Amino acid sequence: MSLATEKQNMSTDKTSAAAGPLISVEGMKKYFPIRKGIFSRHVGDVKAVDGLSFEVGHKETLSLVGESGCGKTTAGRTLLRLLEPTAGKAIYRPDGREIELFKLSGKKMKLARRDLQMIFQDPYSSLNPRKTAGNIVGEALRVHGIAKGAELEDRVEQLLVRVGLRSDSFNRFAHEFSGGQRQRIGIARALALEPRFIVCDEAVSALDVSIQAQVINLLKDLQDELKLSYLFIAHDLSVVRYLSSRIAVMYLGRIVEVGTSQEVFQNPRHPYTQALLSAVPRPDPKRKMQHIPLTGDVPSPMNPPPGCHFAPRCPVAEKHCHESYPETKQLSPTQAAACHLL
Amino acid sequence: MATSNQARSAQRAEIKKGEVLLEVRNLRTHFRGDEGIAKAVDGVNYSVLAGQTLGIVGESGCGKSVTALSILGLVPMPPGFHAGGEILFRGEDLCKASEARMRQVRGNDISMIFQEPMTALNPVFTVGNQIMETVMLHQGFDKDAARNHAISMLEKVGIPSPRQRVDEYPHQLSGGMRQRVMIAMAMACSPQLLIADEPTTALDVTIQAQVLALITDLQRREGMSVVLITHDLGVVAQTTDHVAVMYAGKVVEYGDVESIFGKPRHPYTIGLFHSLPDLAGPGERLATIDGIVPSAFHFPTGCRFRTRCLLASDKCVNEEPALVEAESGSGHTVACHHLEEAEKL
Repeated sequence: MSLATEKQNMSTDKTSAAAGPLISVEGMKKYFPIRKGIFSRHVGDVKAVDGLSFEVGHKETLSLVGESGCGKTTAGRTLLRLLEPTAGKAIYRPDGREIELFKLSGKKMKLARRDLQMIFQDPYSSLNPRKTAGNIVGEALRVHGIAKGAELEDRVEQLLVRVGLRSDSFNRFAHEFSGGQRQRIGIARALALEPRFIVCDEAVSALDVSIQAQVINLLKDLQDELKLSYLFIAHDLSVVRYLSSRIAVMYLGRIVEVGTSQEVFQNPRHPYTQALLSAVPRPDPKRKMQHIPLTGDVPSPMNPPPGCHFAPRCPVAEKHCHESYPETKQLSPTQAAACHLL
Repeated sequence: MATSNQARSAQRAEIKKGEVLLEVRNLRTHFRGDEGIAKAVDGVNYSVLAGQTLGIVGESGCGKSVTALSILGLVPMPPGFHAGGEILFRGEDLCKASEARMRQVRGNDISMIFQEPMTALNPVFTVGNQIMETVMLHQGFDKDAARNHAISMLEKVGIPSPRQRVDEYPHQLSGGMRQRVMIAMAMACSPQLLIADEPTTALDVTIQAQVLALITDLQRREGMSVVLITHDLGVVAQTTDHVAVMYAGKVVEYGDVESIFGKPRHPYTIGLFHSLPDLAGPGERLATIDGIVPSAFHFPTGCRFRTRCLLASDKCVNEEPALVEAESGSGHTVACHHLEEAEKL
């Protein structure tokens, strides 16, 4: 009750109508220390996220794409403080107010999390097998003291129906559902607190194509209806192209290129983006792939190479690429890339 | 060793490129379970031509992997059992072969690459050891020759510094490298047929492109046939010659890759293509196939796709459609009662 009123107070005290993106992130870093020996000596860091800056506008979908190990999942979790950030700033702007997420106390962060939710990748491991669908979806309402008893059941049933499940799903356990249905439970759970911003971490990657299409349509409908913003984390570029307004391409903890969906797909400027796009097999046997081969694997984020992180695999790298990290160059009002050769 | 190789190459000469190497006829592999009998594979027909690639597509639970395991005799029995049909490999019915004979075939004539390279490799043996095992068993190599062979195989699949890597354990390698080791193991005896079950699903796109290029390159050099099981229609379009679309334990459509992608005929295949985000315009809604794949314990009567099909009629409930040629002589076969209506989907 007290939390609910506090939330109302927060949203009524509009300090200014200053517009700005819903979320702005500046220089976000997340290092995981490596400790060795009996004294747990700090010997180095895994620089999973190494200075990310991006913005997500109102009702917008920004996608973070990249290969495994590039830090995209860590970025999403750090932004919602499921992992504590090492450095950086993240500003959330509901109704013209500015909230600095990384400076909030635990209690205030809990309040902010009502607006900031997450959908997880694996619908098999992200749902507690010992709870019913109703319990899973209703838990957030209970924890935040928003509803209880019959009212809670009512709201949960509405949510389950909204994501396309039968209302009698309430008392069934997670293992009784298929993968697509479980992902719908995960979506209902994220929607329970009426958020404005949802981090979708590989939300459709584990699903078969026909089921994937159903879930993608659901996410789009919900965005239109509830005016949601998404940070969509994915490695499947065709899904990303379909869903996003803007795309940020990550490589080894940093963003190497950002632009509108059209810019990134039609006119990729960073050699890594170009190689990544060329590697996507097209569902058309007549158009054989013009694949730009990349040799080797993504280097370890523990000892990233000096200079441009992509240089060791880059087909066009020159000598100076190995010496200094390139600055981000603005290529159009919406597109930017970090490469020495631009 | 030399004689066995000669014998093998003599045997191989019998099968020319484009002839049938493997024919699966009406194969049924069922499982006994708590709810009765699961008809995981229930009447699958397809053939693989020498030197060519057959793609098998379909959603999870449609029986793709069980068909592959049946070919290699790797289905655990019980609970599984062979309920009918034949698997003819160079004319020999593998369903009737003894376990000893299957052991000769596996790894030597037919080998397999599994989806998850971390669980398919043994974590307590070096990768070299695991490659050496197959050649020592099947080709009678001694330890030194096998080790040299393992090193040359690692080199062939593009692993840098193979002399050092041969003594490393699977956990020391990245995902892409492990999948390369799996390929090296599968290729070590130069099999005639390679079954690749979702070989790139766990990999990133750039690594996937490398692994697929490697498989097609090795195939061209060694003249081997490949059965590629995947749910990714892009991978199928880029790497296969023929395609079999499976649904609920059956092949519902079969044909060469260009005719399947150019003019899909079965409502299920058409639905799969429509749900691809690649082919949708921006802002366009994705077409979906409603519902989910039925459980193998309770497949619907008649056509199994009818519960999700827009064209389903009474005929579909009562009568199971046969796999017949859509146009005579095209080799493109479809199992559907409503082919003409399906063209308008």
